[in-house]
Amino acid sequence: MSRRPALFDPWRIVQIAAWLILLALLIWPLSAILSASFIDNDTGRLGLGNYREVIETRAFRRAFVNTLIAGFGGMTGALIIGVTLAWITARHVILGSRTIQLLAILALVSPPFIGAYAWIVLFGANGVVRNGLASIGIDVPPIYGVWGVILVFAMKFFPHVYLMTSTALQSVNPSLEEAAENLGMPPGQRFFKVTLPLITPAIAASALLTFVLSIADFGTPRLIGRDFNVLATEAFTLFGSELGGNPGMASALSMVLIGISLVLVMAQRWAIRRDVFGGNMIRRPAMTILRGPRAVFMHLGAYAIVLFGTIPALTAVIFSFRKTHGPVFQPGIGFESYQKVFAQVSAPIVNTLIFSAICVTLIVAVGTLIGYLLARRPSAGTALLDGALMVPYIVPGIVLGIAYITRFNTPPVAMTGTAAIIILVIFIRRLPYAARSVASALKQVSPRVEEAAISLGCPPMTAFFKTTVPLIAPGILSGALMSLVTAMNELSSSLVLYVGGTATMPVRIYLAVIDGDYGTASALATILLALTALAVLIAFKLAEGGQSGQAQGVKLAT
Amino acid sequence: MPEVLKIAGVAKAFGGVKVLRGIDLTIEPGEFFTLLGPSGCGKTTLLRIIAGFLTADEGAVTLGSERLDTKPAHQRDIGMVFQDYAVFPHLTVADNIAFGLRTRGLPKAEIEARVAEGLKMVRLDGLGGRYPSEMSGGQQQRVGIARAMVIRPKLLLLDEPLSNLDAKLRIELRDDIRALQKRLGVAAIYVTHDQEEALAISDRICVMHGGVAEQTGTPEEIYRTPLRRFPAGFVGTTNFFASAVAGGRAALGPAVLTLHGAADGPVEFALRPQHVALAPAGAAVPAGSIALAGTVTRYTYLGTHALCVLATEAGAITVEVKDPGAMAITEGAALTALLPVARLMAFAPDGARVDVAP
Repeated sequence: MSRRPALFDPWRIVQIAAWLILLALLIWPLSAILSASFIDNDTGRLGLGNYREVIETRAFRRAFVNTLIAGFGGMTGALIIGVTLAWITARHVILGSRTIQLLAILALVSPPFIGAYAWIVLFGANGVVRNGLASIGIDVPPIYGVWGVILVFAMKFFPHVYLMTSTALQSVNPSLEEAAENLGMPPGQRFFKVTLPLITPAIAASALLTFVLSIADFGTPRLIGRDFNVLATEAFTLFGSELGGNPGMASALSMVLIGISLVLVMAQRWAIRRDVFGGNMIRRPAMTILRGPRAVFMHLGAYAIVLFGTIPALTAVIFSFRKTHGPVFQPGIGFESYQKVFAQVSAPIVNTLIFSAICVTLIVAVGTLIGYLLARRPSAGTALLDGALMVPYIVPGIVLGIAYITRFNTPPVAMTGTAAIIILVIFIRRLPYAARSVASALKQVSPRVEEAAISLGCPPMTAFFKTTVPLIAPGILSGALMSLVTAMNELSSSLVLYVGGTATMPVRIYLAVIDGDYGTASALATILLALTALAVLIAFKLAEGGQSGQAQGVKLAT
Repeated sequence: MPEVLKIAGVAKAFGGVKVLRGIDLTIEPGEFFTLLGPSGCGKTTLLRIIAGFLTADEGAVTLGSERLDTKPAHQRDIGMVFQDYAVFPHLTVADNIAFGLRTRGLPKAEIEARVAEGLKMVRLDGLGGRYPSEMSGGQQQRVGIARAMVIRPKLLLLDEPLSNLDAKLRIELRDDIRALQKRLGVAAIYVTHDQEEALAISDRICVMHGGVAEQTGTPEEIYRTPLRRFPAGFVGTTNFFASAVAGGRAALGPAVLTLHGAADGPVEFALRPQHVALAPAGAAVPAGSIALAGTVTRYTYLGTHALCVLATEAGAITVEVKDPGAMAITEGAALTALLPVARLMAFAPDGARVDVAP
């Protein structure tokens, strides 16, 4: 008998296409900064000079240390706040828990920069709240410096931890906790000895995410850090300054930044190397009904956390309706900021909407197909693909932006200054999230469902679109809206890539803040926030509506 | 038109592990054929190769004169019933059943007629508008069966369709499947690890083990005359006694038996519990029986019969007591097991059956 090749599988083409996309939009641009980091700015020669300078220059050494402080500080703060909130809301009956969830998501997606600015307005040297507190005798130090940066990171990134951890908490098999109790363990201990270890994979994943986000953020250290410089700010300055720009050094610093992320990724993998907890879930964990002082305490805690997290957004909204004269705020209410936005800076609004719409379409189409590959066609090839998809997680937006400008500035592919370059960079940055979420949704649906369709005469691709897609459609759609939200709010990569005509709302907000035109910044931020909130609300509704369908899928899979 | 399904030399390996080592089978038209074996024996792999969800490394699958394994799965016209039902949760029962018919582009009236027929076939009349989530597991599997049947497949494949159901339902649905298959006259290949189910439902059984077809035959052939060590142990309960062949002869307790054509070396005797008789210690030994004296180590009363385990010089032996209560048996009592030589089987170390002569 002769050996035969496998029958034709259309998913093979998808896999090849996925690799081509990753190579063209990720690996190739990143290779540009890798090679640039070895080129000396003055002599143009190849060497390790840039890296030597990173080690030898005091400012860079400090930036390196500061990056680690910001990363671990932001991560720790976000973990403490996020896990606490998750534990309160996932295991206790809290009035308005959906509002809390919504507020947390709003905190997550509030436009960047305006956040840092809002904290200054409230808690800066002349901050409204700080002055108010001082007048009743409470002296709070101004928010500037390292602690301010960490606080802002914690408040900005805790919703990631909260969302990931509460999902995990809801899927801990209650029998395990009951077994612990039955074996004589008091509930307080049980949380630390049984529940917490079971959700470590989720916590570790969110820890990594918040760390990477913290070290990638350069707006916050810039506005609040004062002289607290980190690698991201240094790289941006080196790359962006008109005179004395040093792309080689900027690239070397970018590589160091990627290196730190890589080490963290490996540490996270190592930490959860044994933690593969699966099991049969028959019931959901019970929700405790709170009474007495405990109820008051828990409610206060939960609402305090999310309200504190949404302060920047609220500040932006309030300030957008303040009377202004030029860039200066006047007492009273006024709509000058909005008039100015619509008269002078409406292009960024249109840009943002068009760019993110294109982006999301691409992300959904490509992400769904790749997600399917990851979940349903496990092989050495797809495992490698999954690994390659990790790259955008750990490459800060600013670094990818620099990579794109370096690679696509000159032929063969010259597209700096185009809308395409901004769309593509956001696409590749957000693609992994979409692919991963589709993959995890697919794991809830039995692969036999699709095979049944094939055995009934459907070609493989048709079977996929007729059975699996409808089952995961609510997941895909709500994922798409979340991608839309992140695409609309993307700043760091766009900031290096925009030209006058392709500025987006976040870029314009940043420029307004830098110019001291806070009225315009607040009005733009409010519009962005409103669009974001709308998308989030629709995503929520869809997820809710799809619950019944999904529940059927889940039921079937068990 | 009824066609014969031929599986010739089918082999499959996953990452170097040989799951199927060259399977040859012929399934007759209208036959109910079962692949029986423990998990990991390759039965599901073989079924999925026939269905087209896996590609064989070697070998061929043909239906009539037509090569099946070179066709994509969706063009094979094979109905499949899945262990986890795989009913489409987003479609109603009627839409589930109509799925394959719509794919085939049948006229609307015909689809409606066949769906109604399908619902009736599995006794779900009037439930066409329901969603699968509103149904029990047994009902969902009925939908799965109807869905596979209404396309009038050339072949029906069933992958452990009853293993997720409770015992009573399993027997009920098992009988329904068999009746339906006979009524429609479609050949069925049924995969199970449950030997009782296999005996009850099949026209023929293929016992699989380690990627090899150990024995193929009717349920009675498999049970009464196992040709190899594995089916003898896997189907039904069997006592095994280790012994050794020297010069064509091997000892079992006090007796020495002749084994035709057996090479020197280890050998195993085997005997079903229901063929062993119990006698009081020291009772006369009837002709053609071997007496093994022992003590009762366990006595399990099961209503219609009882199982009694005796420790003897040849090892532990389980005896089926047909009329429990007729003889008072207590643990620790001394009794004799009578082994009829005519019923004795013997197996060489490679698993092959060896003839026993008195």
